[in-house]
Amino acid sequence: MMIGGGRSSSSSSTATAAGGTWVSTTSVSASGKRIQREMSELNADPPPHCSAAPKGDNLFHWVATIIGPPGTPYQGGIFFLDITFPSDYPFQPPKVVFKTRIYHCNVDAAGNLSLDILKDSWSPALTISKVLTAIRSVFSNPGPYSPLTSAVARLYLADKAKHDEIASEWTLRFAK
Amino acid sequence: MEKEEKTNINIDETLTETKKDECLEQHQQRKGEAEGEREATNDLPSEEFFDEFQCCICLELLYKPVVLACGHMSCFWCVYNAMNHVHESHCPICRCPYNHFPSVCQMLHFLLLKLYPVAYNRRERQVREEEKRAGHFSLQFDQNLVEPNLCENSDILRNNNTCAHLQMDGHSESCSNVLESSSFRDSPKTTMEDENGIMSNSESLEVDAIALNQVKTSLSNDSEHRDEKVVYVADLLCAACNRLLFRPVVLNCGHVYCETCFVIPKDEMLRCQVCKSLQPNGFPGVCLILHHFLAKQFPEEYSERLKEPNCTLAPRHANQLTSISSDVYSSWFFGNGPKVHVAVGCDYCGMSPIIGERYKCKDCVEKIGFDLCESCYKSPATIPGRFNQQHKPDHQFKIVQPLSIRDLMLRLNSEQSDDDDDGGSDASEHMDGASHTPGMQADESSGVSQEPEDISPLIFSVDVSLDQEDNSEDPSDNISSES
Repeated sequence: MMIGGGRSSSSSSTATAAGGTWVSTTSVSASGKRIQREMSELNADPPPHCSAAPKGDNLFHWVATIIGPPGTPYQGGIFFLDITFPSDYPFQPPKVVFKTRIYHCNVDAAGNLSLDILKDSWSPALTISKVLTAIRSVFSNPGPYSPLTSAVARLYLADKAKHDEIASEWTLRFAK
Repeated sequence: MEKEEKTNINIDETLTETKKDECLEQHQQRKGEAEGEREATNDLPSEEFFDEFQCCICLELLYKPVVLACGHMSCFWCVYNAMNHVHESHCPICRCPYNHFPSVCQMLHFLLLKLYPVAYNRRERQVREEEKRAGHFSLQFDQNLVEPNLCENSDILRNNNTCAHLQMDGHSESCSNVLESSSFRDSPKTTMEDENGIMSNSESLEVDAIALNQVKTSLSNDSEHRDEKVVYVADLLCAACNRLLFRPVVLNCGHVYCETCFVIPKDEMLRCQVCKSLQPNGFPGVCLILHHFLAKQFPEEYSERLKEPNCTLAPRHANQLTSISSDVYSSWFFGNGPKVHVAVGCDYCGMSPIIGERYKCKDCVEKIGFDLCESCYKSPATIPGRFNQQHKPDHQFKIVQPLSIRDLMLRLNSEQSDDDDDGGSDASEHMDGASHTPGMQADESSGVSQEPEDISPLIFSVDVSLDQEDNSEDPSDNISSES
């Protein structure tokens, strides 16, 4: 048996090029079905303080909201996220970007976020619901040792009170 | 999924739902049916089983389940697509590493067909359509059962003799379900039509008559035993002790044993007693989903087995879950290890990628090809290929060399540029990354979300091996990489 080297969604042409290599069978319809299934499960049993739904007609573009967990400087803020599913989802992770500005060492100015399960630690058994729960837990427990914005991380480690003050200010300004 | 809905559904609703089985809301519908059955037959919380037998990847009912060495399972195609074909793969649930793609567990396949005939047949139609589109096929069991010339294959594949009748039973029993749960006139008719659709036309009339007879007999049988039991002990027998499975383990070949029945000779390799194929991944983990299902379905039998002294002390022999260490893959990329045939899997033992010599069948015409690893080539198994290839013993093999790193990188790049919707600029970027590999990790912030994943495992293993080779005990292997 020969296996499609990449998990590409449409690699029929590469099969012949590489001498009869296996073709990945992930079809767009299969990932669409899975996304639909996640959607109905999210509607039925949404994770606490999170929501997510397709932006428009396109199943592969979602908007999600996370409410800042109490006891953190993000408390009460409503944070919007853009979720883009790759065509071979769930075999590749979805791309999640913050649309609301947030003062957090794991989120950069463009809204990109560093979360291991959205990169190398992705598993096809993870769902958007689990991803949102994970992101929400990063609100409460920032990872200052693998930061995207090192200045924020430095402040978090050096002067947490100051960090929290700025973070709640940002929350008030951008997320309410 | 809604909890409230479960309690609200009554039998009438269930009936209307069974008729329109092409509806998209099949999950809910299944629940409706299950609920109907439960109400009609006192206590059978069937809808929970559906959740148990949900594939963690496609989130649908498991279809042709494959049980990994750790005991977790997914659909055949889901496992295949989730596998990393460059180095070892990891279980999607527990991240346990494995490097052999197990065969479909036939026993579970027929169990699911019996438990959820409507949903399972719907899945079959779905998957078959997708397979036709892709031009690759999974192993077709129904064909094996029908075609007499493939009988020797199906004998070996079956976990035990009773499986031969399973499919027929499935049909008759599902009819009896509907009869019992509904006791309406036209409902059984619709389901039977639906099921006959998948059978060959010539047989269908005859089968109809047989099924009707069996419905009557099974009805009387059922009332004698318990109210309604779709699954019998005979469907879930251990391949060794021929009793009900207890703490089931599923081998790489798909055969199911009690945990205690799978005996490992101290000096020998682990081998399946039914098909004699090697068990490459060490001692498999208990398939907990099946274990819980059995405990729920057969509480008396299970508690009896618990009392037996030898059943509680499980033999914990081999704890290594992968037979191949991850160094093997990286050492090949350095040019000092055994050959690694990236993206090529063995069709007998499922090793993917193949390590060592690769034997490619010259006569198999299937697009997917037919390849064997060295040990499977030397001791040919009698099981069919993973992808329903019509391989015959008289076919000729040739040894094929693996792709070199250069070719591999070129191929990966060409693949990316082929299906990349962001255009060609990325491709050149990746060419760049491929030539001096450590640079690859830096570009994760850019818009290329899926491409680095394909190559990065490769690079990571190279990085890891650098550290490992520094303190490895074999100095001769180091020379070529360090110089």
